[in-house]
Amino acid sequence: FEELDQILEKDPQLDEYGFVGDIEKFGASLPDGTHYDFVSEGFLLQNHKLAISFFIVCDLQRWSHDQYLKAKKLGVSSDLRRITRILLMINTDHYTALNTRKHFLQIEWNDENLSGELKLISLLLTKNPKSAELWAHRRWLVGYMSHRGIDDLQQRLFTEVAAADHAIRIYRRNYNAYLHLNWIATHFNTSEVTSKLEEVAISLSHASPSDNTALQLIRFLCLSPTINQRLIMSELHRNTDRLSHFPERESLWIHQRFLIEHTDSMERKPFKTLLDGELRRSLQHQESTIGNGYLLFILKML
Amino acid sequence: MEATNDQKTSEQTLDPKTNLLRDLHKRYIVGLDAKKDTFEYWVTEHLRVSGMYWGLAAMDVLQSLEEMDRKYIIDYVASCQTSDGGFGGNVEHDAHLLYTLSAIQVLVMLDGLDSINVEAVVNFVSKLQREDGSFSGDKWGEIDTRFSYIASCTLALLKRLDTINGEKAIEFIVKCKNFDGGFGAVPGAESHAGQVFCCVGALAILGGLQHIDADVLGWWLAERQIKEGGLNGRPEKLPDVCYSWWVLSSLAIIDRLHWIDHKKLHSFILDCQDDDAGGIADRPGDIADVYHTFFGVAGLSLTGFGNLNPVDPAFAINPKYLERLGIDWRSKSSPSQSTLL
Repeated sequence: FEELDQILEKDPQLDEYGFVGDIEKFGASLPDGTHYDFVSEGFLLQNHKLAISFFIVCDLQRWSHDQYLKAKKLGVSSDLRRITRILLMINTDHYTALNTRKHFLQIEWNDENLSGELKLISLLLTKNPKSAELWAHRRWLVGYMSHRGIDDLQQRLFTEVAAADHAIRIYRRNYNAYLHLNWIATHFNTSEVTSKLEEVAISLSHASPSDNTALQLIRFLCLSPTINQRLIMSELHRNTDRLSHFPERESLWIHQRFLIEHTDSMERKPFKTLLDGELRRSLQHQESTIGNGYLLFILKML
Repeated sequence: MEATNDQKTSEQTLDPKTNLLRDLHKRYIVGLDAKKDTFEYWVTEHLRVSGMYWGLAAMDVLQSLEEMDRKYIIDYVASCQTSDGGFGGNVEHDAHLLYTLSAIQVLVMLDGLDSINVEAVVNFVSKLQREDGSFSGDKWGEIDTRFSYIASCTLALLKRLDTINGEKAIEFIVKCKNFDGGFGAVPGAESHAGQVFCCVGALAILGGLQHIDADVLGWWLAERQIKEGGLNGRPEKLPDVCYSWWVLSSLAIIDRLHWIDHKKLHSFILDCQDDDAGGIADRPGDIADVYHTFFGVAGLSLTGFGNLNPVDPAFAINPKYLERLGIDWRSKSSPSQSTLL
């Protein structure tokens, strides 16, 4: 426990960590001549990245858990900060520890504590980018920042978008990270934020062409707050092209259905040829349920 | 002892691909309580109460609820109630809706509601409703349709649905409906089978099923089944046994359970069994856990696999407990009749 605490104190730039098996074996797997910043039975620190041995986790967490309950009774914020930090590194979903931290942030609201919290959340997200508790905690923090007032809210929001984008690139279809983008779009509805999100959504769908979650974000932007015809038309062209390359992809059919349903009926006329083409394409893929579902949809439309 | 050994031997000769290894799974579940200082224990310590619910509900499906220690479990769950009125995931944890529902479900199954302060629970849950009808999970404010379901289900089991604004709750859920018929966590979020279950279940309990486009949603749900028989939660994702519950229960509520191939699903779920240590995993070959064990057997039960107790698709507990409490969500509203099949 003390070792980990010291590592965290001495390396404020720690930006990634994870569990490994045996530390010695892990160390042996690194390139020769790697200089370790710290190594022990339980930990290996190198270039701001920390490996924690799976074998010490039970002892560490049992100890931290006991310390946490004792410290809560005494209520000293600095102790609780150190202890909850370690509890959370082992169990990122320990929501009660996160609540303790919220409580003290409210009481001792200052730049140092705020930036420390943001750093910790980002660090924990490298271990568990899908954690619903971590993203909820982050949202609470940003909401609280906005409520207490901070200097450059827009910059903060752009950083939040970047954090969600980063988590999505680690783990595609990351539902909770996308919820973060949705939350920003809903609660901070400026044109700058919206165009930033559009940029990110399109970039994500380029990186992963039939990613339904990225496409859903685009659909959300198409509809909020009013129908964005420009985006719908450009998506229709892009998606039709994609479908010609990946006709077996369910997400692309779903997206196509949405785009055509939301295309102005006036604008649909030029797309009648497109619809005929779609119909032919659907008939080609009659075996898959995707084709059948889409077929029914088109028959309804014509 | 002799009988157990015989059972063990006879189950060992069963083919796990076509047979449910009941006794093995029961031994797995009962044995979980003893594993108190493992890695898995410490990284899930905060949700132990939900683990209790999954274990107990699974034993009920396997027709073996009486093998669990009723008094021990009731006392343990009661000790997780906080001064806020809600329940934490374990002793000394903060109250949250997630664990409050699990606690109430356990107490209903074991007939132990008089061991806790019910009024305090009702107070805790009903105060979490927001002006727009949504629910936050706790006082810190995170909104999600999961919490709409949890609040509705908890209060319905306690016969206190009158303490929330049902119309507003329905209104918010409907805002989370997408063009594909599915539902997300918040308005505009991707349709996800878990969220679909929460929204459909909540609408069933609150009497708002008429807001569902049952054919459109039914189709979206039916498309969760992949060629090999398993169900996924969103387009183009891998199948996972827990979706056997989220997808099937939603289909059952909207009367379209026959839109899924049951035989293929059964073979997928059975393939996820751990025929060595017991329990069911998320997909074939992975490590089992109590969560997937419950949802696996619940999915089998819902689709008529033999010799299993029934599970109500809206409340996720044996319907006999609902009968005992006088709860009948089906009489409140019904989904639209299918025009397709």
